Amino acid sequence: MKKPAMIFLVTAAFLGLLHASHYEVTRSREWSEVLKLKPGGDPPVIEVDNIFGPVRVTGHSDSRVMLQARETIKAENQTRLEKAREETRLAIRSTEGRLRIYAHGPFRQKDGKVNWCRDLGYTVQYDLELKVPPHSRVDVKTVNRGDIQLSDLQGAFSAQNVNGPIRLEQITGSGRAVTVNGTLTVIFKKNPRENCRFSTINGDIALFFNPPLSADFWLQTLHGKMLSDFPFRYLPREKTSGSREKGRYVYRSHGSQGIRIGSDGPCIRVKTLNGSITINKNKTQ
Amino acid sequence: MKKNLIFLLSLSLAALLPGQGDNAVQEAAVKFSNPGQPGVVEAHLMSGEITVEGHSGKEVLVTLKTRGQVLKKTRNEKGMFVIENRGVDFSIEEENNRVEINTGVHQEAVSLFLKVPLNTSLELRTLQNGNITIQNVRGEFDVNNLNGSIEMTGVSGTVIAHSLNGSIRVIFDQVNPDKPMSFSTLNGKIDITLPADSNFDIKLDSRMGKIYSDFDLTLESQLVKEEEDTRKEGGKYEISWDRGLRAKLNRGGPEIMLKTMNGNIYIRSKK
Repeated sequence: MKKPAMIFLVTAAFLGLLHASHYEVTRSREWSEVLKLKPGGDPPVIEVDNIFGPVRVTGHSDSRVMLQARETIKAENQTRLEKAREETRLAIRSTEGRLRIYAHGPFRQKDGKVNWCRDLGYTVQYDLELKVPPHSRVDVKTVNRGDIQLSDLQGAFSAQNVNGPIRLEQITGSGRAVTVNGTLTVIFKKNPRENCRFSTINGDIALFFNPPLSADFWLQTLHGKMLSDFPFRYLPREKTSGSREKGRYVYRSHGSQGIRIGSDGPCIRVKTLNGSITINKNKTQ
Repeated sequence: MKKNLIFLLSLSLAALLPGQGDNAVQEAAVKFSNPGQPGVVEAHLMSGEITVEGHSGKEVLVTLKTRGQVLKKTRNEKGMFVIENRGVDFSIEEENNRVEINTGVHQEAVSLFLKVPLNTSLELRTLQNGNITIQNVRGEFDVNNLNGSIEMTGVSGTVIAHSLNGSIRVIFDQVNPDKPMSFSTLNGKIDITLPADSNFDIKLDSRMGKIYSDFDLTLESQLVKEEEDTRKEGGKYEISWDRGLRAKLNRGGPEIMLKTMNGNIYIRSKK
């Protein structure tokens, strides 16, 4: 297994254990603020890199970014709680056309990645709600104790969770949503024009589109059903060819089934291990 | 109303027609990193048959076929179309003259056909829904089929073959005179054909079957005492008497073990 993947899994497992532990001392605070988005770059890019806690991002008819946050520190004792207050914070970085909001602390590496492989004696959870310009490009991550919700957005999106569901609602753009333990629900207000990728390990994936829909889907589940409201035709197997890199030859063919709904359209890859995949017609339109 | 009826009829017919995309054959030609040296091919299937043939080329030619029926389109009780999946998780990797072929954890039975250079060692495993067949290959063979038979003809070298529910049949061209071999199954016969001048010590055990040979085997004591003492490592001391037969084939040599619970054992001399 590659080292980054191993670090990720160890971190996720360790955070899972922390989630199960019961710290005695708790402190919470809430605040809201209007964040300035430095001009430059269109569409604006909003990045949220949380570890504990939900992230909800909604498009609104304003050019500003509004943040509502709740911080909850849980610690073994008062000393650890004070330590958490000293060394952790919700960091906000604004560069031209880009806003980055992230949980910062000793668990954050220099390269921006999270490596939480030791017990700090505390956890810091941020429950985050953002209102952003609707055409923003949104990149959202969290790991534990929360879901990800994106709604009323028109730009490209990326949503990554580990232990929690992802819900994308009234979405117009294209992108990807990936979780490990959680369901995925994606409701498109307008069908995507670019390629998309949706995957989980443990959970159902429900996708909602408007008729008429034109897209190629590559679908895979191990324990579950694959269903579509839309008539479709099966696609031939994807062409695969082997290649050799650094002395190692690799030929890999994935067990997805291709279907085409309508005529030519974007490629939408959907994969779960334990769960069903449904391609639904939007009933609200 | 008539138009609607025609539309509905054509929709129903379309749903019954086989889908496209049943092109379920995958092929690849894999070169060994060092084609001058004998390579190893390892194939693990969860479900399906493996057929290997030696050929005069230097590449491993891999063909994988899915056996499933034509993809259908049906509707479930809520009226949604059911999408079937005939995709196969399938990978081939080669490094240091070793080719590894794997299929995914849970999928329909496949048929794996391999053409390998004549001097190639094989490590083959399948769990169900298929036999393992090997023809005209020289090398070392480690073959394991859980619910199916193993059939090897025209092979030369050393064989370890195990099945749980299946027979084992091996016809050797030549054997490696210096290495032991093993053939075992729980439910099935074992049928081995060796060159007439082979020299082995043979251990035979068929609980519910008979043993036949056209070799002039020299039988040894039927009950063999086996002693195991692992008390120093915190284990136990155990003496057991193996009820299997022991025999010398010609002058004797490395051991060949043949063991089945329900089935006959045949040791044939190659004519």
